[in-house]
Amino acid sequence: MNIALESLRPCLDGAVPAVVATASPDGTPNVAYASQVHYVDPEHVALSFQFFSKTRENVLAHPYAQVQVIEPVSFRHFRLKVHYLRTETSGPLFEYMKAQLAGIATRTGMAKVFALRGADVYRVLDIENVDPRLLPAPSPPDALLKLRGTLDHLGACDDLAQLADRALAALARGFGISHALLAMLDESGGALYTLASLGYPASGVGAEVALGEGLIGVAAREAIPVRINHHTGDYTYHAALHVADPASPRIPLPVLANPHSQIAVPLMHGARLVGVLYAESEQNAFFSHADEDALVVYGRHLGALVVQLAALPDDAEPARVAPASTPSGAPLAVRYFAHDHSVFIDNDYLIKGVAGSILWTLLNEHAASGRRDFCNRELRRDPRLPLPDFGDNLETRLILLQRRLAERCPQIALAKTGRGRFRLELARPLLLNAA
Amino acid sequence: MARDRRSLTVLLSASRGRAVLEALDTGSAITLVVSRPATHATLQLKATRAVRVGVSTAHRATSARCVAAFAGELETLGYATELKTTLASVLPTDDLVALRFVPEIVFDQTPGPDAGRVLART
Repeated sequence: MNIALESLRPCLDGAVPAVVATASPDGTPNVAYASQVHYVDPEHVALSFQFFSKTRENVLAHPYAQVQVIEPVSFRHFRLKVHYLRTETSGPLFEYMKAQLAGIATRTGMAKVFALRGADVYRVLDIENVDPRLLPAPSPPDALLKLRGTLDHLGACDDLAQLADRALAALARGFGISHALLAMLDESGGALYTLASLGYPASGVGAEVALGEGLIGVAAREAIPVRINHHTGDYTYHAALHVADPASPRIPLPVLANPHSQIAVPLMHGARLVGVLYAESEQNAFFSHADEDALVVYGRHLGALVVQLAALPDDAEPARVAPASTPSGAPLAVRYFAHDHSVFIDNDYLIKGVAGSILWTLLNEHAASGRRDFCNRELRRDPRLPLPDFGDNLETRLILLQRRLAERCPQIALAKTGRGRFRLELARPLLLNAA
Repeated sequence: MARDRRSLTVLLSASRGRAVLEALDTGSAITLVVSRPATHATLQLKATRAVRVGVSTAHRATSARCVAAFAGELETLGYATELKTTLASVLPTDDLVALRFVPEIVFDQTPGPDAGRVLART
């Protein structure tokens, strides 16, 4: 091919509809609009299969087609000669196209019409530039440069809390991203919890997302990046939150009500999923193909750093800190529900799950022995925490707990006293009550 | 469209439509798809043959008018104003070929589950 398929990626974002031409066995041509032509790799594209159409009938009988795509801004047309190979009806490619199609459908007023039945994969045999006299569209900002700037701002991090905050702040500097969050995979592997966020009125720390739920959940379940360039109702979280069960407390995800661009990339360490980085914008087409590439690399970098920082040994001794003031004032009522490890302070929901269980254990230990200094290593071995192997999640759970306390109940604090060490600080006396 | 409403004349760029013209010269059938960007209303018209006819001054004026109207409609949908100039340079009136054919079958091709419905046939 004279033209590299990669160079056509701006044409493959659904901004301008593509056209697909096929022929029936008797040679009669058929021409139809293609909602989505998706870049798979340097030799393949995938077309969305939404309806049992003449295009599909023709391609199954005679697997050659021609696809015309248009470069936004320049309006250069390109014709791709393609050979139909197969249809995928599940898996990463299918899920990515399904999410992207939801964005395209809303943009084109087809939200209730479009549903993905399959991803038709084609090999690209040849590419023709139909308009060689037209100038190419100006190059988008260099995503590699943005990534380098982001890594410069990230700098060297000593612990996970610092990493979580800097990872998002660096994105704001490097990519101009104003709204983002970091969600970590929990011990069960069935859900993610928000560890840090950027640019929202409420931090949403502790908010959970089930695997497969919304864009974050799809990116996690398939361990793939997913990018939507237009507004869609299909992958937002607000509908789910409005019907949340009041008996099952849930911290709302802080995300935008109507994002016009969304991207979720997995944080990977080798083949293992650690979490998901999610970013969104009120602008259409905010994230380019190249931004997606760069953020995937960033996600791998962050995933490795999370694992590396969590594996560092605890300090042998706590740092010297000023003696804590004696708790005073009216006692706080702390209520614990063992079935989901949820903790309520003066009847207000604080946290549940692993973090709830840790808090309850610390408060009981303090009540029984007066101890205030703790280290991560002993928590990992504590038989009172009836939970599976923490792995490196213990660190992130403690950060989550620390932040949630700072937001909702500053009278109870976990102050860092060294690597893997912290001190329980109480401003008010407590009344512990297990349900 | 002809006065008797039986045949259509399509104007296309000779350089951009080279492959189409070569296929028609070897006796290929023709399919024309027309779509309204604002509504996505789309028709597909097919015929077993098409013939080339001479390009008249009226054809050139029609082509320029259609290209401008198309750009105007795209502009109302949020496409940049410069598109008008780009489209005019992509589809110049001095590079036109005229193809005449009698549609034998017409389909509704508006995206959606009804796409492919036959609207008329001879």
